[in-house]
Amino acid sequence: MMVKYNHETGLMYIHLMTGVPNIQMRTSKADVSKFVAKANKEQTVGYEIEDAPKNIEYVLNKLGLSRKQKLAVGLCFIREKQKKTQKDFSTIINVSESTYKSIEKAEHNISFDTLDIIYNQFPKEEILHEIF
Amino acid sequence: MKSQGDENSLIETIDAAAGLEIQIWTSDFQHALEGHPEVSLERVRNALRNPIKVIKSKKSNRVCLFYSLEVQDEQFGTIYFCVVVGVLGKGVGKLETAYETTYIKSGDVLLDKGAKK
Repeated sequence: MMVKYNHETGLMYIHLMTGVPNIQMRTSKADVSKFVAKANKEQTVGYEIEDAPKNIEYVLNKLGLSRKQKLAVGLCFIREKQKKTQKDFSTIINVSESTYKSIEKAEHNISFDTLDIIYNQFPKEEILHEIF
Repeated sequence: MKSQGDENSLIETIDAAAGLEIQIWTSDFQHALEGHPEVSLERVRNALRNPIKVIKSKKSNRVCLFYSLEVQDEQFGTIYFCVVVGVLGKGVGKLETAYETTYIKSGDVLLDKGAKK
């Protein structure tokens, strides 16, 4: 999984898989478009979200993301909003930079201790309550 | 190449249509490439220099979309190539990503060479 968010533009990109030729199509939600595999238009491989701050609740609750994927999206969203680097956030939540990068790719099984640290470090981020 | 840090370098700056100068940075281009393997630097250059339509996003005045016309496809209909540009200010922008799309978004039209909607 790959997440990209730019707080200046409000654009968020979520790629559930990479390396698959795809094309953008509309969804029923105006601010959310999907990328479908060219070989199989029923297979959604990613999403583009406009005005992500307004639509983040929808993203977390309606796109069928797993907990790990929601955490990846949530942390990327908070990090970019705070204009921090992945290295900055690895220090804040006390993990290595490579582990942090894995978390933002939804490739890492996060420990309860790390979850506690995340909650404690970002107590005002309501987005975290959408995840857990 | 200019460097913005260890992991990000300026690939090139393109004098694009609609009077914008667009920077292409390695991190953004790499993201576009990983997410959309059909993207190439040549297609990005072409869409920025010779778009059929340039739209300022309705959702963010810091986003411009450059569309070039690609092909008619049996399954998807008309396919466009879209370059998403984040506006940095003073006529300068940077590539955010690029992809193929089945539709042109609505917004303020900055340039129109007669694309079908």
